[in-house]
Amino acid sequence: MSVSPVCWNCQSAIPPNTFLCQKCNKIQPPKKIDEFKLFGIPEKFDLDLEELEIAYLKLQRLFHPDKYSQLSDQEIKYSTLLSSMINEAYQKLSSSISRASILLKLNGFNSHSEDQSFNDPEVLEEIMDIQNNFLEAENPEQKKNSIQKLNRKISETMNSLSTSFKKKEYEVANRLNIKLSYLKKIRIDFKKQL
Amino acid sequence: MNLIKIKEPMSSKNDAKICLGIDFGTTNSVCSVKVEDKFQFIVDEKGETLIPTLILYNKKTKKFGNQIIKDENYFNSIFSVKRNFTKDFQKKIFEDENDNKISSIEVSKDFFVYLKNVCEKNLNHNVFDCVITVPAYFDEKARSGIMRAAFMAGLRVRRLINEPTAAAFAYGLEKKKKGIFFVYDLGGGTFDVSLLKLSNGIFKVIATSGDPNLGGDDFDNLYAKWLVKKFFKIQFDELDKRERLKLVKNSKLFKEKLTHSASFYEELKVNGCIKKVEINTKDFNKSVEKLIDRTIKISAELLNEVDVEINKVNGFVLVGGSSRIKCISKKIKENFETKIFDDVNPDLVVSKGAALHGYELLNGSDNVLLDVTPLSLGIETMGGLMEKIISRNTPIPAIKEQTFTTHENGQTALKFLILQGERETSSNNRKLGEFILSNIRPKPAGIPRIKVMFSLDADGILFVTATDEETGAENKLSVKTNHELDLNDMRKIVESSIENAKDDIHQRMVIEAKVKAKIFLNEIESVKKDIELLCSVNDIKLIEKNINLLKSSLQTNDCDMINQNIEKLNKSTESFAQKKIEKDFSEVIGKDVDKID
Repeated sequence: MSVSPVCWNCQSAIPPNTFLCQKCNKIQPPKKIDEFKLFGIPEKFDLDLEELEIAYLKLQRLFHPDKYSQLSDQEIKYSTLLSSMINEAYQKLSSSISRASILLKLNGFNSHSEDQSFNDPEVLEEIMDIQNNFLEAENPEQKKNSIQKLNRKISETMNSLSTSFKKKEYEVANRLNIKLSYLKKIRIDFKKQL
Repeated sequence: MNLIKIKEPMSSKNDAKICLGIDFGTTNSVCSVKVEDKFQFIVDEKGETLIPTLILYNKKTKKFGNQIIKDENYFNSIFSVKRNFTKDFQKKIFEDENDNKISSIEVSKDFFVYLKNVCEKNLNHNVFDCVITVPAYFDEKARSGIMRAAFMAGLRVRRLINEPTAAAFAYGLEKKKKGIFFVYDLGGGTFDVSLLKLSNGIFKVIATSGDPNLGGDDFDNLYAKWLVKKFFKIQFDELDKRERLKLVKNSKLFKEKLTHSASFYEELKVNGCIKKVEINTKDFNKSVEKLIDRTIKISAELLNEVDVEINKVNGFVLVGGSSRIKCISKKIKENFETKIFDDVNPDLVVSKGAALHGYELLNGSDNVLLDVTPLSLGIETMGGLMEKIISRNTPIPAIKEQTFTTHENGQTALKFLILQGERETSSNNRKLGEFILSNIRPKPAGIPRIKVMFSLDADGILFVTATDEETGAENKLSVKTNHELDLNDMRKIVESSIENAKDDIHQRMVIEAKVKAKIFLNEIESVKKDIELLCSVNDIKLIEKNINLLKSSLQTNDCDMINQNIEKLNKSTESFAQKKIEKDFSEVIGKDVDKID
């Protein structure tokens, strides 16, 4: 990082992780900041989603463009940028898969990307089983059972993922996260077919 | 993040400013305003709050709303102009009072002018600021069309907000509600559903859906068809236009009457034949059942999509005049185990929400409205598929970037087709615009990195920029099909016209002249290279001089001067235009005829 930034309006220094000038109270342009720091919440997988939402709403109350509609074009632009950044960060942290990816990245582990081929035979077989189970289901009742089974699998995987983060086993966490994203994709497909 | 000092960004409270809340509906429009802590609905010259969205151009005169209801030419008026915003609203399909061909935007502009005048008469005060509501499921194109119409009417649109969100805002504030609410908004021409979370001044939309072409009008049509078939044994489509309109008007009246009584007798006249017929709820419900079922299906899909259990939802809030239809609440109860809140005036609550929000925008508040985009946005990729960049139900404002590349060696330009919708193939989605990024440095296929940024603002209006990461050629972005002015430019023109405007008419003339000038300047800018190539040094100098003259007159509100300078620039570019045509023509000659577009 370069020299610490100064306020565009009054030139006083802007401390890291803040977006309002402490002297003149003007909104500042967005800068790169990780999602956890943005909301000022602990960097962990087992996030208290309510805590996240409270932090999110607090930030939107400060930076949403509705609060700047009477101010200069520059301030309107900054609020649109910041508010968008806050929205995106909130969405990312709300989803367990992208939250895990963020955590992996923050811990120096290059998380999975979509193009990366996935070849964990054990997991692939598990997924095949679930899919076959659903396809073979003859009536809605059986289909629902099959989805319930899938739901159990998802929560099991979530638990293991959480444990691996606690143990700082990022290799394992990465694998579990890929598995989780597969399972969730299947669930969406299943639901569509209901 | 450390928040050391938390201060309201808009704490400077001088005199309270006036901001209208305009519910521009398909069948009726409602205006309201909050001035100095007092909220009021605007009434027209007949004392009515509900102003029919009707425009009548006739023999050098314009009439609006309730002025037309008893007019002999009622059936010649323009009905449901708002519905055209989901179609090609630039098409000049109407004729104004001087027999000029005009578009739906221009008709709507005239209606906005009328509403503005009515409000000014009520308040004894000039008004420029407004918040306008739009159907939640309106796409970007429809939204920007509404905004353009309002701008041309001299209104400074402070925000476009979604109708169900506005309703929930007014409802939540008035009844001090907390929890998750499902807004079922069935208007005259549109159907919206939104799931919202309300808590301590926060109004957060979780998800939204709907049908921009389903509303009370469709109920009237369907019931009219049923009536004429049942009682006259005639197919609706066999009737002439006037008879159809008359029948639909009757069907609408019966529908409204049925919200008070279960059955009654009425005289019905079709093609000169009069019959006394029994009108009852049972028949009506049956004839419109498939429309109601469709609203139920859309509601169920939304709940399913967001994974919110129905028992977590506090209840359904019914909004929109058509939600008065009796069997709707019955159907909702049958399909969802939930409470129904119908304790608001479904015709007025949307406008009220807009006015309250407008007041807060201009005077500051702790409340926050957080909305989402109803439809996915993306661009066309190889094979005519749509690549989503912002998916539906993403909270707005939203900024997303994606990198694209070329697929041919040495390719120097890329065309972006911007789409909105949920279908996989691009032809099934709405085309919002087309951009061409030129001046890409020639490289092997797949090497250039073109960064496309979609910025969807709090009004739901999209701004797209594409940049070649290597050359930084953002400014080379040229808009191809779009001859419209950027909405931000239009906003600035409206703002500058407000100061020193002598009166309403003068203000609108200034806006028109400035818009015309800006579009012209943009056109000239896009052919700058050709001018340098084709014109003599003296001609270039003259054109440049006239460009600067026009630009400087844009700083004033002198519309005569602006128009004169447009004329001057036009004259000085005439010979260039001729040369350009010749050049384009000679370039085309010798090419394959198939390739000429």
